[in-house]
Amino acid sequence: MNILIIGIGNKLMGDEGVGIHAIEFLRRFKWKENVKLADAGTIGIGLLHLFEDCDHAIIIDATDFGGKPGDVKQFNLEDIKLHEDSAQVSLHGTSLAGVLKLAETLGQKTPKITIFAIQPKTIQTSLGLSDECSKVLQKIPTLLSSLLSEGVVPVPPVSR
Amino acid sequence: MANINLDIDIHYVTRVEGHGNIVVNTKNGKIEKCQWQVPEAPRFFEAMVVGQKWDVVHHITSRICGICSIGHTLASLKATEAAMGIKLSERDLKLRRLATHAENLQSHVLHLGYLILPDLMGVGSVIPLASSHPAEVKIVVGLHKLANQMSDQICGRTIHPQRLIPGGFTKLPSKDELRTLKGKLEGAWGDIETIAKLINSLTYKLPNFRRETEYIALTNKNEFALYDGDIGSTDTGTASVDRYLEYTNEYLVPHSTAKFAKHARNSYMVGALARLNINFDKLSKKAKEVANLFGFKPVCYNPFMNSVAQLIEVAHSWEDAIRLIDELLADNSYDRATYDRTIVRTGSGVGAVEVPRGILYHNYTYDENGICKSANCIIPTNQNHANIQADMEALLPQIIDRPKPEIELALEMLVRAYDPCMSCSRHFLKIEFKK
Repeated sequence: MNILIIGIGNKLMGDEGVGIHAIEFLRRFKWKENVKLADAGTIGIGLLHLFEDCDHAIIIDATDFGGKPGDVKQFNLEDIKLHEDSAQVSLHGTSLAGVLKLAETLGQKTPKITIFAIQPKTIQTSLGLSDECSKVLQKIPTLLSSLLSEGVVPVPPVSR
Repeated sequence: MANINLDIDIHYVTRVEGHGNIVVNTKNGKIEKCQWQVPEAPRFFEAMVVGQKWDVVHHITSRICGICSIGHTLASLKATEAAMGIKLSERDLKLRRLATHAENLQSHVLHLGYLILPDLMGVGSVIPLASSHPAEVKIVVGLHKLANQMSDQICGRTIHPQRLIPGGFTKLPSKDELRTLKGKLEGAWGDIETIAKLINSLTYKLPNFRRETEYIALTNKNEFALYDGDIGSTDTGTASVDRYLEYTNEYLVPHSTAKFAKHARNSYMVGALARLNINFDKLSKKAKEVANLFGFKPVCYNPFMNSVAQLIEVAHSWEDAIRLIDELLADNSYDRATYDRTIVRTGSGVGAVEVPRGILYHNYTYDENGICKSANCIIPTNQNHANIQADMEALLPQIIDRPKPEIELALEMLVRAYDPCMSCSRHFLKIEFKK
């Protein structure tokens, strides 16, 4: 079982980049060989290729789910409805719905997808995170280890 | 029958990056409004690098764009290197050119396969195309994957390069990796040819439109300029990149937040078509073969042919990448490090590279501690806005008698031909929970 933890977002847009900050934080931990980390930035349609090489993709992303800034929610793809805007196949946009639809149409294998959503506070030109999103980073390894052991792979991250 | 009263409000144009609107109003057969509007909020990226150190600036600018992240990194590094007087080894210059080819392949394959083919095949997006033409779409996906792997091997990442630093690279691809990459590239020619033939069979759908304008691109007497060169123009002579402000002349228009640009005329075009119009004789053999297939000859004044120009460049980048890899493999001193220690100094420098959408300039000034004191970044899409507007004004009267959906499609295809990239890096997922 190959697990890929994918951070998505733009570090120049404040909390929009929380997924990338999360991946950078997670790189400090030691992971088993079947768990890989990917800083996917604003990769868009390139997600198609990342999905091809894993069995379980865990996407960490700034997501507006109507929560309080810094709230974290994790859910599986089948539990949610992706907003229509995300369905357009474009180059920049994550267009997760579009990528999945394309993979399905081409008969490409898609992994189990878990979204690890962090509610952003501010999305504007800035290199840093809001205090709320910054605090979330510390919690991610624990939250992920419980997710990974949930019948998938027991890989608690070990601090170096 | 003329459209005596016509209202078009395409808000936003799809299959382009970011947000742009087409607004047309005609009253009693007279065109009252014909506008290309770019309502994206400005992002102030330049302000973000001010106050940053010389050796991190390129990591910040690589995040400006998910498609041109290699180009923004290279323009940034070149500006810093020009300011500090840093020279690169021949080996590293070749590797940087390979990185440029990787990005050109990534971006052009995507634009042609995902954004242009649907127009040529009469469908709304690549999804229905994947149902009707799965073999062709799989080829596009495969070529894109190869270009991503190429970027990964040279730059250490698919996008947002990590290995590229002022003066060179933190890590080189091994010769074995280069050999594998070469093998994969060689195996891909048949796929490039298939896509070229497919697009060639559909070019009759590209509007036969012509408007003379100025074309601007880097030009270099030794090569087809992508990584390096002087500024070239079809209207005026060449100039050193230090004089970029004389060639860009950015200005504001009331209907857009993005800046527009002009040089010898009211507008100019940058991108693959401009590069071919200026540097056609420097293309590789295979690229010229593809050009012949399409009957492409410079100077071509049809902006819709920018997509064909991109396809010709795909062949060029493919062939020149193999040539560069061969040279690197034959280099017996390849593995030896050749870095000089950078002596941080005060200075100003301009870095210009050709990114998929055209010429990109970065310009920085550093103080004696290597802290960036001022920055300027002029992106290709902003240089094209005025030309898109001028093309739209020239095209509309020629097609005004057609049914409204045809006019809308032609105007959208015009915008898409320029492959504009207005969002420069913002996404974020919007979801609702199923009730």
